Amino acid sequence: METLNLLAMGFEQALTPEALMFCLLGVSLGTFIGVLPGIGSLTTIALCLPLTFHLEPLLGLIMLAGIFYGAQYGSSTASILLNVPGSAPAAITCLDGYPMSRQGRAGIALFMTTIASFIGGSFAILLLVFFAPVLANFAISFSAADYFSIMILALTAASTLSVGSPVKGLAMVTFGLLLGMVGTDINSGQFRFTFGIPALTDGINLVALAMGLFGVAEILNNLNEGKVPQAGQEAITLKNMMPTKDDWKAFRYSCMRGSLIGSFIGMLPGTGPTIATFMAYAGEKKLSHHPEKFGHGAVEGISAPEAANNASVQAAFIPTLTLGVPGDAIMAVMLGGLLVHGITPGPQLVTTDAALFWGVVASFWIGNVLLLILNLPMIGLWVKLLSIPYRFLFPAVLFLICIGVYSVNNNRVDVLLTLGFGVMGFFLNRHGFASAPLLLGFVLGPLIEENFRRALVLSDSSLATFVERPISLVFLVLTAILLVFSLWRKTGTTHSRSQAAP
Amino acid sequence: MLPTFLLALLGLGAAFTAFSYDVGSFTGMGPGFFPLALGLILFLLGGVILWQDRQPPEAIAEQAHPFAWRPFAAVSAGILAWVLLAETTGFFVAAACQVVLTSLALPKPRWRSIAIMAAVLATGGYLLFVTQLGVPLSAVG
Repeated sequence: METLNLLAMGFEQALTPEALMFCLLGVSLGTFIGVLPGIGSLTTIALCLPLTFHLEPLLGLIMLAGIFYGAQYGSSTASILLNVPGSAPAAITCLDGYPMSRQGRAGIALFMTTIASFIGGSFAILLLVFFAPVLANFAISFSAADYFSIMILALTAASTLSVGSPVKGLAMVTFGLLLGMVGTDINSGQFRFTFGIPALTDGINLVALAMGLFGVAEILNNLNEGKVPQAGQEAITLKNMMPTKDDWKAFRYSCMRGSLIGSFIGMLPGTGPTIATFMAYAGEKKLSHHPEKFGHGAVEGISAPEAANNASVQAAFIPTLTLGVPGDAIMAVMLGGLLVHGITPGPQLVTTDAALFWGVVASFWIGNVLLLILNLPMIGLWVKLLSIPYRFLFPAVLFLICIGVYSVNNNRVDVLLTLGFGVMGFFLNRHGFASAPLLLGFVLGPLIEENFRRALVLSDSSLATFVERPISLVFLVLTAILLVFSLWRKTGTTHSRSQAAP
Repeated sequence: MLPTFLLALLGLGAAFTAFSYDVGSFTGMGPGFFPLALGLILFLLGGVILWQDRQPPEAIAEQAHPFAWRPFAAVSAGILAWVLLAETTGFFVAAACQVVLTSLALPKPRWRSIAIMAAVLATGGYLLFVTQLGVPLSAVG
């Protein structure tokens, strides 16, 4: 009952005209960039981050979160119509979404992905409502050693479970952790890796790093590949969106299974929506009586991954808000944003900042309903967006990146750093190094160091504390299993192009 | 190959730099302890990757999109123009230079639409960031 009361209070927070406006703004912007291939939600969130510094934390978080899950709704549109994913997790939707579109069933595919997204998202929000407080209660007893170990687990999972070489993922995480050390050491006041540059004494600017690694590198890569997709125009109306009876039958259970898989994966530290969609698709194909239909427009092939996608995105807020341990790079940026507002996510957030926590949770539901409205009757509008030529898009995005990064500290050096990180990310990506683990390492770096030091102080400098505490031991054992498993699998994974986007 | 090599080198460099801070020991960790450990790990991982990529199966797949100078130079020049000009010649000149230079990333630039875009972006950007959000940049000079 208490949960429901708290949720009601959350709705009070989230239903103010201001909160509604920022929620609508967030989900619309999210859908917008989700539909457009070539601009990721991480770039957009990082761009909007400085804008939210002027807002109340709740409003800022509502908007940033709205961009994140809104983008997941939009991203299937380009997958279905163009065979190009609007964002990385939607890549799997191309496999069956595009064939459906070729069969003249694009409208139905769009309809079903929207409904699947809504069901997946709603399911995970329910989980968030009832499970997050329990987890927070449990996590209140976590010590520094436990936090250190869970963060190590998160980083290991994020770097080894993504596509491409696990060793390269680990190298990027380590690089990210090192970048996180740049600045003033909080314990001793020592400047580390600042090289006499005043702009670096407060550490590398998160917005500059994220914009470079994702925004600039993404654009450099798109321009280098030279293929910028354009949509064939096909009229999508509500009338030709109605699925048949058989479609519904295929849809029902696959959507539920996708929601379950997505929620589970989303809750784990270090795993993002991309993994969730791959697992949901693989699972459906295994379970199906007609696996040969997959890849030729099977409804299960789009409903399960889309449900999983949105479920994992919503569930990802569980570890981020209740433990302060983000699951993927996007959540890491959100965590960074909260820290700037002086809010430290963790078990105490659910109780001490109850208004914020429940307000955000309530806004998720409002946002998902708004997205349903935005995506069903208004789908034609979004489809038209696909006809915006890339030659207008990339200069505009780069312009926004320049001024956006500058506005954080009113410092030109940050913009220069953005360019540097962009060039670096572009070349690293070309050689199969993914950027997401680096960003995650960067955000978690200072937290890991702090918890490591604190754990040793508490244990009189005995390293044994990490294996003597049962919770910490469990996380470390899981980390070891992951490492052994991923190295066992050898690096010969056949994903030749480990472009591994966020 | 080269990026891996540079990463390994970077790890080694970081480890060396960390020595100049107080490293300390487990009983009293100094600010150099973590960077030293991380630098060494990065160096080690770089070595492992170099060893794994001896017979590079990946290298072949990566040839798919050869590096193109034009977009790379245009994007870099655009951002550099902003860095150099924003505080000296003012918002509008910097924004226009940035948009025009980055637009050159694509062959056969359409000057009219680039000019319109530069004007629209500069004006909109000025209104949003300078007028509304108070970013301290002057319009001109």
